[in-house]
Amino acid sequence: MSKRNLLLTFLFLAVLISLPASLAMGAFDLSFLEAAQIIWSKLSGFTDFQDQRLAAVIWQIRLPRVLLSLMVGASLAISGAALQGLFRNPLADPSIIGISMGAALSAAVVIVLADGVLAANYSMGGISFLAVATFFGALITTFLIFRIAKEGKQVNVMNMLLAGIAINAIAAAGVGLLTFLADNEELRTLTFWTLGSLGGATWLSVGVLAISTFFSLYFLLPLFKSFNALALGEQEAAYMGVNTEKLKLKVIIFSALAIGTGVAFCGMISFVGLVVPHIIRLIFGGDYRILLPTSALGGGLLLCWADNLARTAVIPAELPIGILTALFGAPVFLYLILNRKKLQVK
Amino acid sequence: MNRFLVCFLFVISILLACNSQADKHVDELESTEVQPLRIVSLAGALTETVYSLGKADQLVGIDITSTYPDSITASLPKLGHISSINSEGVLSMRPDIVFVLKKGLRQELVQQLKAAGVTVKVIDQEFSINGTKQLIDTIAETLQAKAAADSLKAKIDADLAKVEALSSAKRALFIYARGAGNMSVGGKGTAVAQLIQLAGGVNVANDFEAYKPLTAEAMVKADPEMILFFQSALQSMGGPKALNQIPAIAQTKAGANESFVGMDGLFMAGFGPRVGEAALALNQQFKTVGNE
Repeated sequence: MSKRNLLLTFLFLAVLISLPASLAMGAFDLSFLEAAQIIWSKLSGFTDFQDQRLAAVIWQIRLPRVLLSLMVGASLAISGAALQGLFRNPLADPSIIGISMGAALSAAVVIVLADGVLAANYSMGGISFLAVATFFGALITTFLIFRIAKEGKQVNVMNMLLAGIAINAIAAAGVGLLTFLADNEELRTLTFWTLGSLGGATWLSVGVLAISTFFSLYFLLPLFKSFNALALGEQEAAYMGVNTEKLKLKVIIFSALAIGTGVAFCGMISFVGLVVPHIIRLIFGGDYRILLPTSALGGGLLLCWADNLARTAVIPAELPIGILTALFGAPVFLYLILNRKKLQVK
Repeated sequence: MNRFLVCFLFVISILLACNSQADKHVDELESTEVQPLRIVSLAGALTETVYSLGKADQLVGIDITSTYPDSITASLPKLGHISSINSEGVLSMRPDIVFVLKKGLRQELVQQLKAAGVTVKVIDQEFSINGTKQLIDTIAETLQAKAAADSLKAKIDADLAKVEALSSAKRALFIYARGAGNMSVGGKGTAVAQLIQLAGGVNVANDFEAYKPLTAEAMVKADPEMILFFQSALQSMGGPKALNQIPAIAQTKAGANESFVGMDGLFMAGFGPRVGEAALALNQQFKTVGNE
């Protein structure tokens, strides 16, 4: 078995083990067997489980949440890897194309201004107004940066980086202004939003995320050849037959879609998109044929276990997940940087 | 084109799956046997109301803003703050009913709790005497404690009746402080502003709503006769002597007379069942100011 397949099998098994393990963890005491019984009865549909509350905890709360963590983690990490490949910049992450700040600004607008006017609890078929606004906020900012960076028919990657910085600064100012206007409760809600939480997971959000994650995996995974070529330089890649303009468009669209959806339902979860591809790159080298799929699996794993800790560390309360992804990811990252010579396989 | 067909089929199947999920509603738990309800209360004023209605023994979980009375807050599990509450944590208390304020509530939390068959009472609190009475009535109705509610409301009216008229409306200001460098002032519509009015004073920060940081000059111009703080904040800032080190405060009448008052946060700004007492206490503080 090749190194790639071995690694993929290993990570895939880790995900498979994490799923039931995560289901058995949580504030509500119940055994793994009970969890399995409930899921079986729900899936098969014939034995109706007696204790409705127990069934609801597993089926309505825990299972959607664990699935959501895996999918959001996967889409954040693969988008991070793709953006790093596109920009040929190791520091590229969702904020570089304006997603984070654009989402933050629209979240702040909804939380602070629309609380009374539009009723932030207003729901569109079960999806909160906050989620819808955040999603579009993220996409609009990305589109704006993309437009600014466009020179004729070409998108200048350098311009995109610079436009990103400028647009981010404007959005940050907007968030600052809204922070000033916010009252105590709103400020608290906003702060927690920027730290992220998977607590709002419902089957509807799982469904939406499944679609966006599927799209990003389906369209980003086959791009490994282009990214490998792009690592040599944009012109070199073009000589090798890569349609770089099409590549840019694809990466921006599908990473913005994936990250935007994740941010809409879970708030800002930092570090996953930046750190997971890096960890893998430092251990296994920069081949995107390995990097893209392993980033997706690794991101899912990181977020899943970070969330398990978030919901069990201070039972019955909950820690914001953004704290944990940084706490998990950063030390590993530092360790790898310090030992990169020893670890480099190549 | 094949690719888009795959995507299309995938999206359709997900949509169908979601739809079939949405149709299944979990029926509410049938409570045929008469058992005392297990209550989770997720706001200080609500917890206090449940306690004052004599139902404290039914409380099984509270949030971090529930700070009164000590007898129950010390022993009950704390579920966090409403902006970050974990639905599974709430359910692990096996509640029958959850009381929660509308402000800052996430819709998903309500959905998840309802899915587990828990009754969720969302209360839209208004900072006024009527608002408090409505809040008491709503909770009392759910807990079937009408008699206790009537006596609570009577107590509020009795306390308010004891509020004495002042020779002039006292100019007061509430500072929400988290250390000397970070002081916000309570404007129009805030709970403390309403209490100041009930106690016969006037809130000098009248030209904006909610809490805003106030500049030193605006503070001097507003010139309050009394400055209110949360008790904890007053202590953390080092008491009256330290407060008068802050230039803006030293220039006001309140600063000159060291007329600083610290009150418990939930007591002063909670608008719970003790709102009458709070208004009376503040009224008595006002009487010590100026030429009463």
